[in-house]
Amino acid sequence: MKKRDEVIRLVDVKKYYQLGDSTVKALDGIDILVRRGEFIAIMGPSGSGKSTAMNMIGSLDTPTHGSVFLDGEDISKLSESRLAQLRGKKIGFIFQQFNLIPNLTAIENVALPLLFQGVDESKRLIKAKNLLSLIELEDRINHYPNQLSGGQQQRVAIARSLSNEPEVILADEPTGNLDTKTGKIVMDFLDNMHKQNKTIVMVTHDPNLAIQHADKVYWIIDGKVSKITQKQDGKWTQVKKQEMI
Amino acid sequence: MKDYFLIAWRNLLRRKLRSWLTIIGIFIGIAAVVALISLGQALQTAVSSQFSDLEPDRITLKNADAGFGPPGTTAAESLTNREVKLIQKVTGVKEAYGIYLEPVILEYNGVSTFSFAMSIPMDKTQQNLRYKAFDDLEKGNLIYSSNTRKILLGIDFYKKNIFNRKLNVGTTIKINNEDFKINGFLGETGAFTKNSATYILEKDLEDITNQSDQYDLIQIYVDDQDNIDTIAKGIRDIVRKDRKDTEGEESFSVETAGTSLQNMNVILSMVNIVVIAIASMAILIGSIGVANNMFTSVLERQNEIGIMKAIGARNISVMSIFLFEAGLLGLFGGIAGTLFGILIAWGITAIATVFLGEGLFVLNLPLSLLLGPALFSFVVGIIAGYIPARQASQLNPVEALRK
Repeated sequence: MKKRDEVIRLVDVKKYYQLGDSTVKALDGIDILVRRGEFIAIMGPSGSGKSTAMNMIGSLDTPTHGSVFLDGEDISKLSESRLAQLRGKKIGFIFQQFNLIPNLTAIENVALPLLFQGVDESKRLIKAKNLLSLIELEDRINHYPNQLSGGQQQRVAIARSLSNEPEVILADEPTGNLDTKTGKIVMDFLDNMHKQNKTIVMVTHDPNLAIQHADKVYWIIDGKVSKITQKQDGKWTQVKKQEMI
Repeated sequence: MKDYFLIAWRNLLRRKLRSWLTIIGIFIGIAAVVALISLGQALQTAVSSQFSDLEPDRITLKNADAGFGPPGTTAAESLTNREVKLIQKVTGVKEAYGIYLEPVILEYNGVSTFSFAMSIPMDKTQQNLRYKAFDDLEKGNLIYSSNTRKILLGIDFYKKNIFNRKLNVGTTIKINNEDFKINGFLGETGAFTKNSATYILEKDLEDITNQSDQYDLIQIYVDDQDNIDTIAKGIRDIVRKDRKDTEGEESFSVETAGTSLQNMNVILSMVNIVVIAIASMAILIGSIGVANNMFTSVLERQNEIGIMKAIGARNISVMSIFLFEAGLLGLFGGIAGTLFGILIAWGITAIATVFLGEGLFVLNLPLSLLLGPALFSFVVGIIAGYIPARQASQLNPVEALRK
């Protein structure tokens, strides 16, 4: 099933929630393919199901129907603990709210995913320090999140997402809580990651952000992929869904 | 694990006030436990030292109501020579004699003090039995029938400067206004009544208290201590018949070393039960505090739990952090409580020493009492924190992140 360069594949994924008597179809059969080295944007208005899609891609959630393949392995039926282990190894998260742990310093936050992987403290801290210098915050390593600006916090979060050398970096509205200027700095860092051949999946409701930075965009409306566009030689073209599968 | 421990520690620091309040909850319980247990042990030591002169071949007959308090004070009726003779005839009885316990006034150097005088029988065989239960003398010699107007004193009179002038062997002091010469001082015993008692020949005591044939207790020695219970029963039957008492409502009591210890053990185990009841109540309340703290914490930190899970924390990791937090709350409460409990016990012992004299009430602090409660409260904390921690670990990451 696994094709070369394939990192994540969602096949006919449905996610239904029961709300009282009615069934909410957050995802109603979507297919997404993420290849190694791609910068993919998942676009959609709020309520479109893009956050649910991200949860599926990030193995935070399992589908009601359909399959999610991470590195060729079907993870849709795995237990929460096993999923945690997998995403700890293979996924790096960047959240809109930064989501740093408030009582850990910048360096400890960056090192935390490694702690959960059972890496030695000394190795953790060396790696975390390197990552913090990569995002130009080496002078802030012992600062707590509340001593950092929003932009700085998000950069720490980027460093954290990289610490376990994930297959995919998942960014959920990474600039949503930032002003334009700091948002741009954060996006520059993401672009840099992309240039270094990291795989990035970004969820956003902002079409400009998607078009500027991603090289493939999934447009999601009402829990379905309405279209897929791809940038080739600076031009955006629509891709047929069948070609993706 | 060490890392989870450190994270837990940081989380507690973050909510200092709440942590402290929870710790105080545990602290009070553990302080009570430590204080009560150490005092209970001191009490047990003190009480059993009071019974250290119990002899396995001796039976004591007292009138009813002559209970555990200061001896002689509550005896309703006196025991007589006739009863002594009666008892001497019971099969298995080697010897029996009466003893007076009389309050007397000692006077020396213009200072008067009060003491219990205990009589020494006049018969040589009886004297030897009487002295059998005595430890070695601190100083001087025992008194025998030829030593009229001579006395033995408890160690307190030698060691404590009761009369503002030192007493010694040969010193003459007044007892109920009559002159007596000190012939010796008893060695130190754990029994504080003995340490402050005056020992005086029966005839002399009868003289100065104008009494005769009104013993406060009868001491009986048996030939075969294995048969002591049968012999005690024989004595009880004879005296009951003589006094025409109804069985079960005797106006006297017959005690052996066994029954005395039994009575004492009943009292001590009741004390222990009360201690355990109070302690477990206090600890239960403390652990409810821990559980409450942790439940609140889980609710507040749902988002954080979600983040940790998103970046790879397994259920067991989340659970460990929360369990450590609960355990640490217990541990700190336990350590503080142990220290404070020892302080309380120490203070009460100091006060008791002032009132009861040195050496009676001694605090004994074994390592188990120093480390046990802290360890125990750590475990109690973990148990109290188990359900909240489980709840935290089983949160769905998607829902947790939404908070």
